[in-house]
Amino acid sequence: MNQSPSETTPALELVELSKHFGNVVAVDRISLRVEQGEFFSLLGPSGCGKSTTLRMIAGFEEPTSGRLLLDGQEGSRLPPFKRNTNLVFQSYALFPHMTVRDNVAYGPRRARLSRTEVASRVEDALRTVRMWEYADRLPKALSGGQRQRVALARGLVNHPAVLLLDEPLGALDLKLRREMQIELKEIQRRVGISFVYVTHDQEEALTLSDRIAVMNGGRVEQLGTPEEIYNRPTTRFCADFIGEANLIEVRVGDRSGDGRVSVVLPGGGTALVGSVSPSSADSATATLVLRPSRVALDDKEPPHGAERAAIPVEVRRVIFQGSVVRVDLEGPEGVSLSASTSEADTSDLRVGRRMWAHWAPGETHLVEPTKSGTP
Amino acid sequence: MRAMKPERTSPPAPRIYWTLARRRRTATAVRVTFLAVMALLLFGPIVVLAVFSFNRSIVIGFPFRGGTLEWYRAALGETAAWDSLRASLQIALVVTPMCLLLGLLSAFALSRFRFRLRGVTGSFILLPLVIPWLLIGVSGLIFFSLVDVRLSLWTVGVMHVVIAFPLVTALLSAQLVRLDPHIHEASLDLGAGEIETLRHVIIPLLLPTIGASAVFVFSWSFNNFIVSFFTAGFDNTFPIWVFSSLRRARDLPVVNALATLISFVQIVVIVGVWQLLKVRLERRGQDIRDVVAGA
Ligand SMILES: Nc1ncnc2c1ncn2[C@@H]1O[C@H](COP(=O)(O)OP(=O)(O)OP(=O)(O)O)[C@@H](O)[C@H]1O
Ligand SMILES: [Mg+2]
Repeated sequence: MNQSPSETTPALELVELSKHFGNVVAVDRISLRVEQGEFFSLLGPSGCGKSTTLRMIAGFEEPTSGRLLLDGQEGSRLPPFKRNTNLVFQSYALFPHMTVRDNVAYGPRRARLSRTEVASRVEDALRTVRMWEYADRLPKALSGGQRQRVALARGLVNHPAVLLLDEPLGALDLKLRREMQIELKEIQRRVGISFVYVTHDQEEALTLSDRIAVMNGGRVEQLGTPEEIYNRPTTRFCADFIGEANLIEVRVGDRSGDGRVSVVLPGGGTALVGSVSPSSADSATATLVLRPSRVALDDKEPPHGAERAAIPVEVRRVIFQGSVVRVDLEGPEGVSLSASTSEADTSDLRVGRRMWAHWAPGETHLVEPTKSGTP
Repeated sequence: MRAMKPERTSPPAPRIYWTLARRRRTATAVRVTFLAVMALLLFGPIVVLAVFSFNRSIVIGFPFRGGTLEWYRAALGETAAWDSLRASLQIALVVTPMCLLLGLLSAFALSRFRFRLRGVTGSFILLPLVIPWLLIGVSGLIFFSLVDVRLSLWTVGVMHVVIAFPLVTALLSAQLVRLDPHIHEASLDLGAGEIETLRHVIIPLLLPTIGASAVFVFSWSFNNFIVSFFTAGFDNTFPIWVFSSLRRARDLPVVNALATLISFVQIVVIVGVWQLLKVRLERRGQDIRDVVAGA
């Protein structure tokens, strides 16, 4: 299509947006852009301001400061019913006295669409979420997953510029949640509407999103694709919150030469690191981020150098976790780390056994040390 | 420990079970007795009166002198009674919608908006529910004579609104508070303004409670004696007519017959409305007991 102007303006743009409740700063000057057709997630722990951000976009909270652009237009003063956004509530908030059909038709009817237009849109939306057969049921007579679909259809049917979803799968059991995740992604790709998706489940965010904003304490800590966020965390918080991570306090050694940085590991060994985040740029100490899945175990000391970094460890615990086995280890200076392996036979990994943990330096990252200024 | 006899080797669990079962039986007995006494005290006198309205004797009491419809025939001829009945109906029919409107507005104000003196306003509105009706009646009388308003059915109506609309406020605001606030927000989010939200979402969801409130207000107004008595002047409502007729002993069986008749009609109407509400609610998957008793 050649509607170039609308395809270059972002569907949603937040500029230095803040929300204070009395002296609680719920959202602290966040800026981000959501492109047309993008699946964008706000990921963070409970209380970090995800819902508040979403409610400002939907129009239920007035920003304390900052700007909010919807399809390029200033939108922060519009009431919710005049915004081209729709919100899918965690509790679904279906109208209990209306059938599925009437629930979904509610938006189009308020928009004064013709009767036939309403009917065809409702059918489209309900077929998209595979709920057309249930059109005449009341919400009471639906399962949690089915209500979830209806809530989704009730938003999609209005063709909003942005569909906002506040932990929409939070009330479902794990298996159903996995199924719905795949379906949600599929639906989003098909309808091409931008989604802003709030979740505290990092796995869910990684699975679904085109891009993720990791939030903490009202601020965006890191913004990027799932791969960037998982593979190159820029802060200690992100590294810890997303996926499993060994966080090892190290001294920063040599910063010179070809731009590669080496660090001093506990026990005195040195190792190169893969990438250095701006948050640790100038400090003398830093935190080394090492994913357990990247740690290998060996009896013999591996050759150190540019290809391999290693420290001596002792096995502390072996935990069977189904598809993987997690091995908790203790290294020099009391440092603890874990390795996870999918090897079938781990019977020789007895507690107390002395081994070498080693990894490829390119897969590690350096972030700020424990007590840096970041709250 | 010594070895136990074979028959004692079974675990003591059945004994505990037996105790529980006995307790449960006791609890059931207490409950049934309580309900029976309540029912007897509440409905006993009414049933007795109803039975005696068919008694040939002019004295309401034993012995029973055989059945008759004589008193009912006499009641049909009591024009004063029928006039008062019409007055009571008219008042209740005007008072009920007034109370629903005032109740709805005040319930909204109290449960949806945060304003200064909200707590005080709430208590003030609900005050008539705890002030004795005798006091309300007397003060109404004094007030109307102070401002020089002639007592009539109109003044009765005004007083009925004052005593009955707080009941609607209480029932409706309890229901409003229980309503998921996200449902209201969802409606706004889907493009409905506040008025449209009220019309398509809030009022329909409150409808059962509004219906139940209407039944209560109607019967409060229709049956109220004490407030009407002080503020009716020379006009009669049905309860006032009943009271004044009680002073003439020979009218007693007639009053009794009429009262029985009216009670019967009221019971039929209320049960009818209740069933209607129940059927409508069940179609929406709701339980009437949640709507009324939960309020
Ligand atoms: N109406 C309010 N009044 C006062 N404080 C509020 C209000 N709403 C939210 N907050 C505070 O703002 C902060 C952010 O809340 P928010 O609901 O946005 O968190 P969240 O990231 O959605 O958390 P969760 O994952 O638990 O839903 C919290 O500290 C919360 O207590
Ligand atoms: Mg939230």
